[in-house]
Amino acid sequence: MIAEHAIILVVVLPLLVAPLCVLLGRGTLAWGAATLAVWSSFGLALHLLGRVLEEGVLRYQLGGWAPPVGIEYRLDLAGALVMTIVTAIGAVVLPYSFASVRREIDEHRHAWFYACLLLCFAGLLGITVTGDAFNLFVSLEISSLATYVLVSIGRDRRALTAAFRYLLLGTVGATFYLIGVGFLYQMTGTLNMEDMARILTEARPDGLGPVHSTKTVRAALAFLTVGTFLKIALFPLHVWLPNVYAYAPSVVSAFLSATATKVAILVLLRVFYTVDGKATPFDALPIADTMVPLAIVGALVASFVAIYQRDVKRLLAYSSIAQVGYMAIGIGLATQAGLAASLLHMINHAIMKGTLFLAVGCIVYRVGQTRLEGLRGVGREMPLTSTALVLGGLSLIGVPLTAGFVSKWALLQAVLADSHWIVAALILLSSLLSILYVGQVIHVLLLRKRPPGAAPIQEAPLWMVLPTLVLAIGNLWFGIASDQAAEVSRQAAEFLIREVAP
Amino acid sequence: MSLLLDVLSWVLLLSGGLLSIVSAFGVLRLPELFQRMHSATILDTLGAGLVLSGLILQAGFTVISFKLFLVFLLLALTTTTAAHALAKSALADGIYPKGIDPEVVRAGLSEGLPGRQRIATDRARERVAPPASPQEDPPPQPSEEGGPPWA
Amino acid sequence: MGVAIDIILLLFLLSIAFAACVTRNLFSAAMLFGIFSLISATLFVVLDAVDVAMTEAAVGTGVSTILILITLASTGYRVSPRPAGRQVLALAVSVVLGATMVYGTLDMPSLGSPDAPVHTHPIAQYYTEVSPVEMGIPNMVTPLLASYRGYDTLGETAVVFTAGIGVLALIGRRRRKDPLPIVEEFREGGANRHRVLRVISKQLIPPILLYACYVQAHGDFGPGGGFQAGVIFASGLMLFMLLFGVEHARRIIRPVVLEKLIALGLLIYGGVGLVNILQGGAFLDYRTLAHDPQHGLHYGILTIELGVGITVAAVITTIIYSFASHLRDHVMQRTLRLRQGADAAQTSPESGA
Repeated sequence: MIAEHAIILVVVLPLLVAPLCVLLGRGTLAWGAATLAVWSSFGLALHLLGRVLEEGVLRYQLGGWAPPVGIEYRLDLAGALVMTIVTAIGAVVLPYSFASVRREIDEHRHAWFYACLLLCFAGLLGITVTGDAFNLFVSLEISSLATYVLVSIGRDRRALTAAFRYLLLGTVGATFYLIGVGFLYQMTGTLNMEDMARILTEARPDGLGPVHSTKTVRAALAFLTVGTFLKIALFPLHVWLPNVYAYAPSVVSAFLSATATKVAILVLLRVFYTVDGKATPFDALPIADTMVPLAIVGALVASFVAIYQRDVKRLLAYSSIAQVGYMAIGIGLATQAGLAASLLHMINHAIMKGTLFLAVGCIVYRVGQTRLEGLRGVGREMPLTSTALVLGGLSLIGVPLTAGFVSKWALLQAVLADSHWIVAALILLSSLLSILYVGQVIHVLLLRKRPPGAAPIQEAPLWMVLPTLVLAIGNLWFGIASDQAAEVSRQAAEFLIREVAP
Repeated sequence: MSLLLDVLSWVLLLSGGLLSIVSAFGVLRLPELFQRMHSATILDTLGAGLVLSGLILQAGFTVISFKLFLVFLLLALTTTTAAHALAKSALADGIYPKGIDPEVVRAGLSEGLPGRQRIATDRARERVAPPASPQEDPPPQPSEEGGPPWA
Repeated sequence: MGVAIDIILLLFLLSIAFAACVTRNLFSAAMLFGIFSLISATLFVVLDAVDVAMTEAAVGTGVSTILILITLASTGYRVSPRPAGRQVLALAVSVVLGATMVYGTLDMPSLGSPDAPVHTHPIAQYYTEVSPVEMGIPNMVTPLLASYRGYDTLGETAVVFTAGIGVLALIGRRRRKDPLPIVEEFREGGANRHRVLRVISKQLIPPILLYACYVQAHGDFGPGGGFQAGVIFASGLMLFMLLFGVEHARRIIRPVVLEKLIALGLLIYGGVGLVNILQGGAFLDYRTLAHDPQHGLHYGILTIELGVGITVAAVITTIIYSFASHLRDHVMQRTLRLRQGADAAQTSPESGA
């Protein structure tokens, strides 16, 4: 029975444990319930990934109503991939959160914090698995609203303004998505993605050509594009991101940076491949031509700005914008290799950014701040944390034998296969810039001396270091034994492109 | 009989509508708050009342009539109360009807008003008749003290 | 005739929106927003979306206006002018946005046209013709909302839940170990000088709450349902709080209870879905709840509407409580500080002399 309903349980379990956390009321109990829910989701997600690899697309009719009358859950490989990323990061972050949350968030808010974390988690998973355009919006709302709370729940007052700004821009993004879906509904009469895709290719009843060439559908795509770009934080719509990641509690920064933008990218793929791909191929749209330049400028600018950051979390946030740029380049190429490279980079970026933010969280736990000048020599006294940080940093740069190298290499190959020499050169340049900012952090942490008279620092508690190290080893694992992940992302990309082939 | 009812209901509806237009003009054109409120309240009670009774006659002896009657009851209760509250806060804020001796109004108001309202009354008193000598001035109250009613 | 009413209402909306943008006084802006919502609600009624209109009227005109006013009471009513460059940018963005939307409407079928894809698609026919037979529910909106797209409604309930938890997490009052000393003027709280208001509202609150229960139960047959009932119930409680003070209101329904109710509503909704799975159906397939599928549908819809109603009412009440308590604490602290300052100012010249 569980196997039959796994696809819905993976979302509904965390969604319903969230109110349970509020009923339990106590931080520790809520943490226990949340951890159980997230781990079971992780188990179900792995099970689903295996089944999608074997059987292809999985479907589930909610309420027993056949689509398009009812809502359909529809899991393809790209969705399963992102779902596995989200659940895996969640499964790593939750054990870590116990100590970190105690340190960074007031005690009477713990139960609410775990409830919001679960809601955010469930919302993100709902996006990966849904086959219904409006249901996607609902999941997006759940996750966004929970995110705003998660960002501002800590003690740092600056997080409030960051979260408010994020709320404004995020709401604009979600509203744009809703307007786009509304326009599409006007022209197709359905909300089911597959049904929409079918109707978009049909001719209009009044003999005015195909539905997808109407002005309404074009305006809808424009709204959907801008809306998802805002959520992805693609340059120049990235302004909300740095402060959000910098001032949120460590757990939240780690979880969001590893998952939220990836899910937003999946939304983009859903719009342009699953819904609109059949009617107009991706490279025929103006978005493909604008995406690559925007992404490459974004990657360069963000890497450049990152060098000048004096706050480790802000630095990592800017690097996230740059990395999102890489993923956008792969998508903008509109080739199967590019798409596969993007998906692969999604996995790897989730692992390395997760590692880095978790390691920074360990430092925050002991030192209480993230300003670079306050962290001199801290790494020497926290050997395990700094090992993780170095591994994550190397992966971020793209040093061979780490995960970052594999996906960047795949991206470069995809770019060169399309003979975009300049883009390839600029990607390399941006990687060089990343050596500078990662090097700066490592230099301050390990090579500088602690200021005389500073209190000695201990290694962070085991339950924080262990998850961090697990992710850090993931960097090596996916760097050395990279075939499996590459194969899965290749198949996912192939499916997305084959699905839309006429 | 039905013709009679129909005529009567239309007379009511039309006169209600006419009254509404007149009162809308009143709200726009009358010079000061209390006169405008007077005009608006006519719309709320008599205008709406006429229209509703016209509709009740149209509907006949049905549940719809009963619902319309409930609407009328609700309007009669709420709009008059709202007008009362509005007038009271205007007075408390120092806005007096023209041609009425402020002392008379104030005598009923200024005793026992809390915080901001008391200050406003005092301020209004100064506006009407500046205090004769500084000694008679009540001690200045910090203006932030008064809470909004829901606090 | 209908078109004329639409146009007049839309013109109203336009001018109100413009006035709200232009005004510098945030109090009048808040009031204008309230009027905007009321007219939108009227427009929804004209468009035969009475269910939406009820929510819009209760939330847009009532609850959110009060929330904005409460916030303004602690921030002040005036806005400072913004730099011209930013305003030009904002204007440019709005113009582009509006132009895109107008561009999008050019190929759109006209409102209510029978040839529109929304009406010609087979699911429209299913919802209007098959559903009443299948469900036995006259109000077409209810089965759509609660069953065919019931999972979306679960999601929306989760959104409301998140909002409630979010407000609690950000400004929810921690139980203080040392409660603030009460300033005497605030002891009774609320509009204690407005006796007429209090007396009349006392008569009104019970019918409002009763009406909420009616809307909750009657959703199958007329406009209404959990969302509408929840907001109406909450606005009744809000009226009480406005007139008798938040402390009094908090004693009647304690915030802790509300917090549990928020969670309970969502759990009821999701619990129905889990029961359906245990009964061998799909998630939220109410037909498994009874031998007769139609009965099962009715049970399911009534139960989940109840869950929605509980969560919505509890969340909105919680939000209002939290804001009002926050403001009350804020005002009391400021008053106490001012009093202390005044005392210090009075004593210091004497000691100097």
